[in-house]
Amino acid sequence: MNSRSHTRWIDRGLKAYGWAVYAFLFLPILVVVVFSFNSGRHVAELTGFSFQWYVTAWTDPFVVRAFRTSISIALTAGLISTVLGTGAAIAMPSLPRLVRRSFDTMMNFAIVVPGIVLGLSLLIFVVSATGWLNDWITYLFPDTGFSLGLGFHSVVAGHAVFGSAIVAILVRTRLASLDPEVIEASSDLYAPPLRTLFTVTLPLLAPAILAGFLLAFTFSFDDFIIAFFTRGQAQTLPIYLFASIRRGVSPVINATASTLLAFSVTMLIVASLVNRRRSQQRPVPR
Amino acid sequence: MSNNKGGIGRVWLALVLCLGMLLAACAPDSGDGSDTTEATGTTAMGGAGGPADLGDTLVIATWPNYHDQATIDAFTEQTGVAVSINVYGSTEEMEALLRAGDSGIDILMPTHYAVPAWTEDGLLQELDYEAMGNPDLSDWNELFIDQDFDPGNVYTIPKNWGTTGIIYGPDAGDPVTSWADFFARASTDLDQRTLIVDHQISTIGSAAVSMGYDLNTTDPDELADIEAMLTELKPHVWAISSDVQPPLRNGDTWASMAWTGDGVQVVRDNPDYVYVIPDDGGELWVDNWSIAADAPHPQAAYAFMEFILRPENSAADTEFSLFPHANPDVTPLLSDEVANNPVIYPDQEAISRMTLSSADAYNSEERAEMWARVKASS
Amino acid sequence: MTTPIPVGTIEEGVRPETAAPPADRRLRRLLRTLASPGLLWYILFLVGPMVVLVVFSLGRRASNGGYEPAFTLEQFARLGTRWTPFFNTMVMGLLGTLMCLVVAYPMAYFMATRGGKYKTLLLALVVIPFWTSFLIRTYAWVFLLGNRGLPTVFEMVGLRNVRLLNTTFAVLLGIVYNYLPLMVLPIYVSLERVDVTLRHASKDLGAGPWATFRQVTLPLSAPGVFAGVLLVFVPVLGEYLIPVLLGGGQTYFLGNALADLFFQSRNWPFGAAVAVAFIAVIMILILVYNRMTKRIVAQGRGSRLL
Repeated sequence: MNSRSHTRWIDRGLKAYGWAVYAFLFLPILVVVVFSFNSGRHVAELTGFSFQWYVTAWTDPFVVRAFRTSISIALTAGLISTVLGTGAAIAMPSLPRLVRRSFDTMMNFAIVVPGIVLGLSLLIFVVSATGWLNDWITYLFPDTGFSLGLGFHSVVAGHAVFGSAIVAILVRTRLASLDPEVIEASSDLYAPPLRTLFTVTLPLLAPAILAGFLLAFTFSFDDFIIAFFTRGQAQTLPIYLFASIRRGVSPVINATASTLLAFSVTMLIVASLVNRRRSQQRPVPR
Repeated sequence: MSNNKGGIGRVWLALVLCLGMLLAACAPDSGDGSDTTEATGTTAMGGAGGPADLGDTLVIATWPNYHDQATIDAFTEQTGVAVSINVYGSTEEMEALLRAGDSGIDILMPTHYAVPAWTEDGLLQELDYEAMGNPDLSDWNELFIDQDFDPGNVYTIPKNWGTTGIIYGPDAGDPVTSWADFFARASTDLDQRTLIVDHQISTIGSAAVSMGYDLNTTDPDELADIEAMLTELKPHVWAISSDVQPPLRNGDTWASMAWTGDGVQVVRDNPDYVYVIPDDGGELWVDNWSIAADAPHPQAAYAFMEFILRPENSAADTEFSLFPHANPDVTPLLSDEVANNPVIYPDQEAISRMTLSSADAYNSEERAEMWARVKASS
Repeated sequence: MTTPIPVGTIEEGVRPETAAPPADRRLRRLLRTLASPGLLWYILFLVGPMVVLVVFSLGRRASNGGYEPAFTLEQFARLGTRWTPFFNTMVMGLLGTLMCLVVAYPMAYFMATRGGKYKTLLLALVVIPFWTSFLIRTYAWVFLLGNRGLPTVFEMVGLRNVRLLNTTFAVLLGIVYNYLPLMVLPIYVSLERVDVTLRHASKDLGAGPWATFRQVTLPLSAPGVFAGVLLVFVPVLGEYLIPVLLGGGQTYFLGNALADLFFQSRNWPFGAAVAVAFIAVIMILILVYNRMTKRIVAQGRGSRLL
């Protein structure tokens, strides 16, 4: 009897705790969203309801451009991360020992090293390397006016270093839990390795690859510190927000953030709906 | 094999979603082709090529909210050159980009104290005054023309100038009128209610002035005194931060170190706040037009300079950015509320008390290290 | 990997290598193609930058800021001047991580054991706040902790002049808030794997809920806890935004010191030296940590009664 009421109290306590933590997590979000509809200018006083900040935000050329830059960088970095990370994860067990160990170390290093170090080392590297490379480029191709420097690509490079490590971890974990006989069966049937890869291995890994892509994408989109150092002229959304907060706050920032949140939540809902339908349809042969 | 259609299906879904986002990102609006950041036009015109010698692009590196878009659009209409504006939070960020080389930037807006280092390192080109329509700077505000940072204005022409002063609100009680006053009261009746900016030049400089030293001092003994004062002060300030406005508007700070732009915006929105040019002096600064030594579109840059230096265009810019202009021909073209705004245009007497911060102070390693020590202290 | 198919007569003998299907060589070539882009990318964009970082750390600051080639250890000799931010960062990082753990563990426990069919939803709800920009979330806390935010609520219940922002508390709150999912996820994963029957068995044997937790669940969730702590502590050491936005410059982390060296002092060589030392410290920490946790987990496994 005693242990049962004990358990019930524990249950209630845990549930209450859960609610409290969720409230904690969502409180700032709520503030952001509520003030995005504020008709007044100040983030400190509620004066009325209005959509004006959404209109201002999404017609402001700087906000739109920063948003696009962030999306393009995130998509590019995400795709590159997925390709590199998946390839690395699949190939890893079959590489020569030394190569495998060093590659593994490099990936772990990429995850562990703080973003600020990654960013500033890339900054120095690009500055040094392009200085030297550009001299060669102008020597070899004097009329093109082409030159390397900090910018879109250096941000993508930094993001992809971290992103591919993440993808590799996810894919590797999934790969380890797969039944190797399925892959072996395919090559026993004399399927060329490439075909095995595309028709057997990759589909089996698909959920991990997808999850990896989403993670790499989100990381890149939200990143501030690496972009801060390597961005050159590129203006990502977090960078733009940071600079404009400095110049004075306005609910435009709240409106931008709320839109992005709504977008992400919608994607999540769509993805989970599709997932549920798929799992209902999928026959289970094993 | 059929049991993993679900897996592929999810991958396809993700690809479709990404394609959708990609299309959204690359949807043509104003002539944006690819989404590289280099030349994306921000004007309504589709980047049509202008007269062959000007090209069709111009890249400007500047501060947020510093340029009147309508004026820029007028330039594009006249010349067919699309202008791309890239914003930075600080001169240092701009500098990092410039030193990386081949930045692709034409026109820059360095604050004056960075100019000597940039010219010494060959980052800026000598201005071709003829290409700019021979602007006559001789009757411009003498405090900003032909100064030590660029004698003869070989490399730069002032865009807007400003001051580093004090904003205080009604909660502060007695007016804060000097740096000495500010720093003294920051630990007494204004305890936990003041802010100093995270910028060595302005803060060490203002602290120096409050103690009777020169704004640009690099004297080790004086710096030691200032360090002692600032270290003692640190636990009493609300924040060491360059985000001046949010705490003022939130009522977290009652008196704050601030720059002209902050002063204008805060006073405009809260008429009971005051922006003060301190009695004992302070920092004067000027942001300058300059052209990168490796500017990829020099002709367009000079055309733009000629355009923007016309008094009516400078006036429009000033009306928007609300920072004062050094050209006296501009002032009569301004609206009354801008021209007579004491925050934007304090009287000459007040600002002649102030000093331009120096490149030596900017580059001083002693000052930088001292500032790091102050920030690290508890 | 594949079963060798005998080729040739018994007199000739059968050797697996020569009998291996030609797909094996192609497979190896394919694998190498798969791995090489990643490897190249890492060499170019991770190893390269690290090498340059070390090179810069041996240089001198040019008079106008920037890097001047040299070969000297003087930058490393000056590391002591950044001792205070380093120490502060370690202490605050440790504190923040532990607080994060304390908040995250019951949450993960709740989700894993009481979540039922809503587990995925609960998990998703923990992650969703992180789909707003980090800057915005942190900035919302600047408002909430400022004088017009929560302190006004406190005033209503009579607590006046409560200072929340630009304090150590605010920074710790920022750390806990922003790193919560990183701590919750691994703990949740390891708790979820704990077989429910183990707990039931423990109860059947007469152990109270707390004893069950302490002797069965907690040790089994140890790997998750260790993973979470590492996942949070190391990135927190490199934090830049939280001390700036929530600490108001009153807390000076190593990340801030690094950024200042690059953007305010423009002393790239010294900044590089600090970064190199920072990396070294992290690597040592991780090595020691891995060894410690492996020993604890191994011990735990050894002493289990089952």
